[in-house]
Amino acid sequence: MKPIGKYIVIKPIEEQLTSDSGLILTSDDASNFRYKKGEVVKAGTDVSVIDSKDLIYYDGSAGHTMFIKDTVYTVIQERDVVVVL
Amino acid sequence: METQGGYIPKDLSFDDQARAKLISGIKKISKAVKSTLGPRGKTVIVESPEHIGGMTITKDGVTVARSIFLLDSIENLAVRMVKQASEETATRAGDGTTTAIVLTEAFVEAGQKYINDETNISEVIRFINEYAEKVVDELKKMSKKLNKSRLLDVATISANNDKEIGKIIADAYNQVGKDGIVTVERSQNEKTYAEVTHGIKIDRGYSSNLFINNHKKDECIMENVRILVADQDINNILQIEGILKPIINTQEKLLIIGSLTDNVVNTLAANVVRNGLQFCHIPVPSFGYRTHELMQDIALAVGAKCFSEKVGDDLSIVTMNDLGTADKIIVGKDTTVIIKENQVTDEISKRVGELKEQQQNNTFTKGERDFVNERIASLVGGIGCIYVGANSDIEQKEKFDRVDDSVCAVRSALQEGIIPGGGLPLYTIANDMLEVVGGNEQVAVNIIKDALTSPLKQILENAGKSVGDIMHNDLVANEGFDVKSEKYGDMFHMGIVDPLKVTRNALLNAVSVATTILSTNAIVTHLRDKS
Repeated sequence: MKPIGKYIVIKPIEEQLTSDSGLILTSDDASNFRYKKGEVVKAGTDVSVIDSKDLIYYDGSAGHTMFIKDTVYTVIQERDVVVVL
Repeated sequence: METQGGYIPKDLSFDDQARAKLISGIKKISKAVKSTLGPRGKTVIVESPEHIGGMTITKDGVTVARSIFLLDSIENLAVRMVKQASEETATRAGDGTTTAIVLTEAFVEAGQKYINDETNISEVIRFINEYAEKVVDELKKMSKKLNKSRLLDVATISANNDKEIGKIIADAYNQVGKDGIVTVERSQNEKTYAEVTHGIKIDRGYSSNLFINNHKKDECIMENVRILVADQDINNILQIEGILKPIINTQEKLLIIGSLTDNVVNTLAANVVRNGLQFCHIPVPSFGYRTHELMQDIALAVGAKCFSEKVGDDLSIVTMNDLGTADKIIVGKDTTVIIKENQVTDEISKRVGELKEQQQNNTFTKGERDFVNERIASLVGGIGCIYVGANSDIEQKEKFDRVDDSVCAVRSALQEGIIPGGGLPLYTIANDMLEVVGGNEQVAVNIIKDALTSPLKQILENAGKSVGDIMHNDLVANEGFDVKSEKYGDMFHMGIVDPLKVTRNALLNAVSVATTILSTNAIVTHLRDKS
């Protein structure tokens, strides 16, 4: 699998969010946040600063999903990424 | 009747003919109502679509009076006036409707008897009003403050001598105290019982089942709870993160009273279940302007700051000091009770003072007045609720009316004290009234004397006795005849007592209607098609 150009293939990370005070946030609360966490599976040929296995935050409303060999991936563009951890 | 050029044609009646019709109307309504007066009064059956089964069986004067409408337009006018007077008595004093109607009839009858063409009617009416005030002063002198055993007597007598109901009501009042209130509800089973809560009762329950921590009772019960009172929408849990943090860190319990969106409630519930935190939430009570008033009361009673968008509060800066506290909360499915053994602070007593002033506002409807009463009770006293149960709907309705009467009578008695019952004080005052030398004043005195004896006469008549047989001249003060046990004795000792407020209002309202009728000379009514 080789993403082309500025595309990046990622896997979204679903995790339990807790606030500073230890309050558990439900997924409903979490969906209120625009930027979501994901792990890069493979970056496109023109992407320079992001590598595979990087943890990133990306625009949750961007991108689409696809199904390759039994696995669901999300495809976003380089400009949808806001933070590389 | 068709309108003639846009106007409704009128029927005119004058003088004696007009008054005779008014009086016959009053006699009709009075005849129906007065047989219920006294412990040996009879029941009345009323056909009415408003009640279950299309009829109601009652011993309650107001219910009978309310159901009466007459075909004759002038008679019906009289009925409406009497109804208004008796309802006025009922809303102010809670009882005494029958007495008011009996007095009205007696006043009008006596007026007809003593007033002739030479009498100066407006003079007479002025004297009647003067003497009525004097009678009220006499009644005040006779009155005694209410103690526990007298409270039981008042409750029993107003419930038409039902000892069981009297005891339930008296117990409830003894428990709620001076400023507490007692309300009446229908019971779900055949038992009649009272429930008393000291604290604030809110007609709202938990917003999610997950808050229940006592599954036996299906309630959320917590002790030493912090309370957040917020009169504004909270749609994101992070809005109140600022206050949740110290609560979670110190392992405190929190009750939120406010309107939360579903996902905030879910988040709280999730944390109760998965994180072991002790939270509970109830929605805001009541509707409209009442919500705001109630929230202010709750905040005041628990010592919290009421966060309201209306006054520009910001929930993100709420601190622990802005939260209230309660000794215990019991949150059920539909009701919440907040218990707090608080000292009455200056703020609370100021608020109660304001509410008591509002209570005097005569333009209030019964509902509004009850609302104010409840608020006072929730701030300083307890709230009692009497659940009326019976084996059939009709019996329940009849019992409900009596309990409601009795509860109101006790409230009146607590306010102004009690006097001997059975119409005895009015009778004694009438007998002691001095004869005056002729003229209009004498006419007024005659009318008053006749009228004041009527309630006693009627009670005896309903028991199959007559005044001549029963009332001897050698009876000492407060001594009277118990028509139920047929024995003489001290009225206070025998527990035959009336609240002063009831008798006073009944008398003044009867005077007001009767004098209006006596001074009426022309009546204009819509012309009815008699065919």
